[in-house]
Amino acid sequence: MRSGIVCIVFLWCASVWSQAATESMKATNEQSLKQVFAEPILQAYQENSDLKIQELFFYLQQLTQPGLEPSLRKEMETACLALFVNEETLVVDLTSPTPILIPIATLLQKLAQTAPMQITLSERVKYNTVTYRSWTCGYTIGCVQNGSSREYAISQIVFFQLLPQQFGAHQQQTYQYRLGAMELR
Amino acid sequence: MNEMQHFQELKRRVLERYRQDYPYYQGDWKTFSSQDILNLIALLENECKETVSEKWIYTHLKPETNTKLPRKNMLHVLCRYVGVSSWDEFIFEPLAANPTVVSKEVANRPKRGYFWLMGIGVLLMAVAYFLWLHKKEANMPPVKLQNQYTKEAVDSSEVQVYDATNSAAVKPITPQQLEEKVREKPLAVLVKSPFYKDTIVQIPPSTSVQTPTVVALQPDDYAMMVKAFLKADITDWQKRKTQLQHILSEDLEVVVMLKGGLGAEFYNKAQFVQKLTIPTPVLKRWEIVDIKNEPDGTLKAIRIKQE
Repeated sequence: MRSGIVCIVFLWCASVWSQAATESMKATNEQSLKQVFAEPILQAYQENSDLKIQELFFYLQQLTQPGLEPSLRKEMETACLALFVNEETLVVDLTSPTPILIPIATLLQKLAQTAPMQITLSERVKYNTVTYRSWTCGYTIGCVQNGSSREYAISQIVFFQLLPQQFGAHQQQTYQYRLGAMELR
Repeated sequence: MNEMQHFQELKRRVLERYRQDYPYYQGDWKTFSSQDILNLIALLENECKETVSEKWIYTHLKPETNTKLPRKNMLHVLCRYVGVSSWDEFIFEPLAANPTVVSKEVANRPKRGYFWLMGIGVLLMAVAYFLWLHKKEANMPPVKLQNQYTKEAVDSSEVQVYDATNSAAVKPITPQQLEEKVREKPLAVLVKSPFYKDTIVQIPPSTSVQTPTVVALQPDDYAMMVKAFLKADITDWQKRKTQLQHILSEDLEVVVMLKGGLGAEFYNKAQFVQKLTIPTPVLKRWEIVDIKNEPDGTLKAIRIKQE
């Protein structure tokens, strides 16, 4: 009985210690993007992530063009999805007159049915909230469709983290970008 | 011509200039596609260092007739694109020259003096020609780089020249250093380029030759293809994808150096093929600086500089 109580107390202590260690590691990691990179380098990586966002909207605009052959549409959709964390990532529904968020895969389906669209992005992108593996950027999307225009003020998470990358037979860890969820501002 | 007519003329000239880069485009502004607009934006950004939005092109260039003149700073950009310094120069119409009035007295002046003037003129021209020849000889580059097959001149910014006199310590040299080194004695140089095979050539002293030594560089076809694909538009994407699968090694590693060399991004073969298959305007900012091949010639490493 006594040894049983000792054993339970020991397990509880071990569990508390393990939890504390995990929290401590997380706290250390949360500073890591700023710790790993000098400020100008992190800034260069953040500016480069603007290009990913520009690419995304280039693909989205192309996907609204009429007469796009199915194989090319598929190719573009694949390229578009490759920019995201996964196909369930929430993005703004550019086809909807009211601003709502839908999964990127759903947006791609809706774009196939919509009228041609001209998309512009605001030039200034602000980077806030740098975490251990991401930052948030803000921009405004302008859409012109059927003669009417609308704007969406967006903030979006950009993930930037060390991930394994396969180069033929060998693999190495590289920092890679993945676009995360959009939020309406 | 009023300003609006001048603007229509400018639009015509912009299309003409655009066809120099995209000769297969034979339409007018009405048929100017969204891809053409993106191409034009990239050209303006590249050549005039100015950003023009798609919306602006749709508003001011696409319509057949314009009711309003665009802002002057944008007109300047288009003027610079067509090779005119500014909008003011573009619309400048010189006044008709006054007919020359020659007085009877001047007309009747003896013509003997003209022979003297003509003689001095010929003499001056001969002296100028001699000086020009002498200067040309002095400035003559010691080597002329050309494509081995097309015989076209190779852009010197695409090559790096090395002093290969001592094969154990090959070091890069600038064009000025090269000129100085070959003035008196011969020099072995190694010419390296991402788009041509390494070439070693012996350059004779510049004092002993009348014309520059021609260095024929053998192009690396696969590297040339990737260079061309970076400037491509969406047409022929399937062909491009197949060709890329063929010319890139399975182990391909592409490094894109970010602006100012502050960081790098990596692409493997699948990612790079996808990137070049559907080219976005971002690719127009890429410049290949180094390429390495597998023994079978396929490309195994590409280093790119991003502007």
